[in-house]
Amino acid sequence: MRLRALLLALAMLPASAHAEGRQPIETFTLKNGMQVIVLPNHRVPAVNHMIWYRVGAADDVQGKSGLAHYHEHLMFKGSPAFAAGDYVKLLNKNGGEHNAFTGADTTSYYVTIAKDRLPLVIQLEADRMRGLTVTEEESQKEKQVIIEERRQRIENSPAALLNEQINAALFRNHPYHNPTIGWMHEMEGLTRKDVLAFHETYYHPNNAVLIVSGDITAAELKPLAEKYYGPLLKKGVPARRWLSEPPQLAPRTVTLTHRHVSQPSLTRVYAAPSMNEGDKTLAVPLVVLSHLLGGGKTSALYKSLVVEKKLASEVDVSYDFYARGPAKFSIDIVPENKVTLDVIEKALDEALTQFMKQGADEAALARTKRLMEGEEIYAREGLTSTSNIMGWMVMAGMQPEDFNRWADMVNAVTAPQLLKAAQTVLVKEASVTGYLLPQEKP
Amino acid sequence: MKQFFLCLLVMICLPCVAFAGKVQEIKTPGGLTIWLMEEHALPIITTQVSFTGSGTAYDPREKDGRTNMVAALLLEGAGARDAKTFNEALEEEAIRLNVGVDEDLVQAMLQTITTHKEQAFSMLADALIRPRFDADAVIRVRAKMQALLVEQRESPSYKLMRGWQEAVYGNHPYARVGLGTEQSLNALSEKDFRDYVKRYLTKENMIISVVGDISPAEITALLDKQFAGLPARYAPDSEVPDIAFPAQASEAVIVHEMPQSIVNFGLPGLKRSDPDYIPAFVMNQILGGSGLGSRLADAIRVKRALTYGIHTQMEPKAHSAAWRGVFSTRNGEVKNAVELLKSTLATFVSKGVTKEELADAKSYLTGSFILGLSSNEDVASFLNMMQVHKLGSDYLEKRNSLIEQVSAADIKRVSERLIDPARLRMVIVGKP
Repeated sequence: MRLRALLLALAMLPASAHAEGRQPIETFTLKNGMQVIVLPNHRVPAVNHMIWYRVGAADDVQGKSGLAHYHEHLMFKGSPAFAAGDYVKLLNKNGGEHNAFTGADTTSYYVTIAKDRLPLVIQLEADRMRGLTVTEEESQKEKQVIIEERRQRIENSPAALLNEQINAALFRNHPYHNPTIGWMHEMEGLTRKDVLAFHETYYHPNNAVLIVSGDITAAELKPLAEKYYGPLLKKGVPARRWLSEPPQLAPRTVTLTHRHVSQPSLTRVYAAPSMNEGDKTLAVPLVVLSHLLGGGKTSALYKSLVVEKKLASEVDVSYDFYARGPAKFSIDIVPENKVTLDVIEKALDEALTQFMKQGADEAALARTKRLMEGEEIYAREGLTSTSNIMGWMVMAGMQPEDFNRWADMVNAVTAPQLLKAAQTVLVKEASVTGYLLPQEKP
Repeated sequence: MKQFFLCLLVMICLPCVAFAGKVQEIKTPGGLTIWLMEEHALPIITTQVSFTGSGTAYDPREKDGRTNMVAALLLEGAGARDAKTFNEALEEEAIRLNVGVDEDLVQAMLQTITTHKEQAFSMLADALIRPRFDADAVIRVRAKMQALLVEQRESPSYKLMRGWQEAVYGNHPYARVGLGTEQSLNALSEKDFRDYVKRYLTKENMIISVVGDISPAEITALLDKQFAGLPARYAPDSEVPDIAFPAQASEAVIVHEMPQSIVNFGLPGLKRSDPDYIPAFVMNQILGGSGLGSRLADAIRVKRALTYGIHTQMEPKAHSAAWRGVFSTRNGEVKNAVELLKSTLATFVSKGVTKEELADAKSYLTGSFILGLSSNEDVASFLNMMQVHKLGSDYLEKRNSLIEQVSAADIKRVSERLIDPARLRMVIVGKP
């Protein structure tokens, strides 16, 4: 599935040390404040056009969770020059692959298309930045669609339901508390008026970053961007003053017992600093730590829990360093059959304690770095993955040039830094442990 | 799970390739056939190796799960390296090696940076020819599959897949549980795995496509050297017969307590070798091909908001062919949605397509073809697909013109041949 591929690409941020592997990067800013980044890559005569808005589910009006995501759906329901459905129809007709994502921090829309069709894409995108013309009837119907989407993704899946509860327990005050898709009872109350007001508040050129990768240069793109995006007016966008988290003082546990769980699983989540919030110097070491602990068959937790102790069949570690607010450092474990979650949890805690006593093995650290470095060239194969990685980095407050500096940042991480990051972040008090359990048979 | 939501239903993965490069067919002195597309822009070499007639359908009933276990074990130690050193060696050189399995075949995908090609191909050969099947690796992989089996037991999508296999393939090997059962997994032994490797991973049924930074002379020398030890003759336990799609309609409901039902529906499809395959492919695009903008998405999502997405595809296999679609809808609306599905199909067959619809579908399919070019991996898979289905090495160049040639009359003919709502086979998981 595409979503997964994008996330994987992100987890494998490029790590380019060698000059020949550098991605050319060109940037310019329109008079109305719209930032533009061009990533030339001339392998095929196609381009990826991806526009990122600095707004996401964490900006939902209180009591209206799901608004940013609902808005994203209504972006396809008509704008001043195009009727509902035109966007999809025109892009399909022109062989464009397109999709949109709403996250907690950002919303992005992308199209990959033959180079000569780029003006059409820009025209469509600029028009819907100008305004939405969705009718009441269309907006009501689309609300049913997002409700079906929630049923499909969340209500039908015990793991997704538990995850929602874990998030809510981890972030008690920060808007990350609420799910991106929204709580069902609040989604039901969303209106067209809410969406139009949301659009008017956030969808302005100075709140967007445009990334175009592929067979194009800044010199070619600039006149097009000026022609279509240029006339849009700069407008004040409210500062994002999100509520912040109080100190994490007590470990929490969340248990979801569900009739449709047959294999229990354990999730441990720690509140962590990100590139933007908290001790930022820990962010890159934490990225390396997540690979080292759970990045495959040679990682520390896999070795301990799967290979040596034979208690687990899967271990996965992830860390969203690119969060604009606080990040999450997550460990997911599927036990072997008949191994209980308390046994797994005890083994996990022992393995982590041991890691924090001994620190990272230098050979393992070197291997992890080489692996991350090797991913660089692979990540550059796809147009969408390059724009996507760049987008996350820039939205996380990094500079476009950091794309090519990432390798140096990763290579600079030392074993003592890793240890410090682990000791600072992997503390029980800042954690939520989630248990997914089958229902007891009567 | 991450918090991003795919808004438009994912585009189906169109077989999209069409490269600037040319396919070179190489017959090596060592008796291999290699399709090579040179691409020197990046220092990467991507290779796909497929073994036809080696998939889960070839597992004898009492050995269900064998192919999947072997596939996982190929990466758990081979040649002189045990699982740990094997995987560390891959990581150290940033070599990616994956093995995939379906009913029909097993395939390995190898990606390497040019400078590490010697080691990469030697490790691929180790995995395919000299897997170790060390006892602790066997225990680990078995435990993982047992855990997966338990996990799947209550998964609606797994129930749906099993229900569909039974509804369409009955007693045919395509209805087998590829993952195996608790008993069959426990019974499988090292001898079974070694026997499988000798019979199924052979030169005779091997297909190779290579894309990237390597010359014909280099790849010939490398593969002849590395693959010299492959068994020469393919020797399956038994042949898998062809099976026709069932002629009658059926509806199976698998009760699963959840707010929304998943509806899987299907009709006969066409094999890739059928002269009508391309018209049927275009027909599918118009009916339910890419997420939004199709007849079915328009009727069921856009006009009536009964689903988040509906999507259909052609499913040509080696021994059967289906046209299949899936959508989810709230339990109370299943009946209405199914009625709407049937009436939309009926109208499609009786009225045919409009000129505009056909032109739009063709321009989408031909225009988006090139987009899949951006990765070597896509190209290598597509070249192997072309070889598996014997489409000829010029198919890449011909593909778009074949689509251009499809007429409204062709669509009418294939829709009359395939789309009969009165024959619809349906499996529903949920509580309709």
